[in-house]
Amino acid sequence: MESFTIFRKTHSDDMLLCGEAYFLRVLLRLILFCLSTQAFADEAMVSIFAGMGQHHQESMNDSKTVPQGQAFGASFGRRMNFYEFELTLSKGTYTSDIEHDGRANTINHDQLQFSIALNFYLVKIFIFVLVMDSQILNKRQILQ
Amino acid sequence: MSGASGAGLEEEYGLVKDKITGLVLGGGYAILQTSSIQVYVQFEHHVMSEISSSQNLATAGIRFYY
Repeated sequence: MESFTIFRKTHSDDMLLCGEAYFLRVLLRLILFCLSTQAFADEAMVSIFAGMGQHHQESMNDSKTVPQGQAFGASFGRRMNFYEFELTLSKGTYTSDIEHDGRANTINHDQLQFSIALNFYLVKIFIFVLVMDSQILNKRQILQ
Repeated sequence: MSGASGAGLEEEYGLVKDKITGLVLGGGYAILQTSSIQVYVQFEHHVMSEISSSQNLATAGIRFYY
């Protein structure tokens, strides 16, 4: 008889489940709050960045020459909800050694780049959909 | 875009000063995000079909929101 009572669901288990559900609900609301303060922002943005890159030129495939180097730049834009409009100016310097007609040479590839970008915050969109979905599900359960 | 090389390489490898238009595709991840600062890493692939070339670029940066 003792062994059966161990597996029987007790009142305290129900209380625990209620506590977990309450915790999850609070957590979801907290995420939703964070999203409402950050994802629904409409604010200006400035950015600086630096990195490394490589340049592939079809005409240099035979010599297997791939200039590599650094790039840095700055950008400004505006973030609105789940997307961001961005204007970027960057400078890149790529170099590579190449042998041509038996002579060693160096290719210096300098570039100044201006780009217009539209960034999407995919993870935020995913979390938002997930939270909204769970909220809707929660409301349906309450209605039932 | 500009290119400089040894004698005779300009014609053969197409390394001339040029102004071209291309397409950039990429993705990134925000390592640190607060209401006013975002630290991110990003990977970009540049396609410049006019000169039959492409570029890969990996960057790290910081964004300030105000």
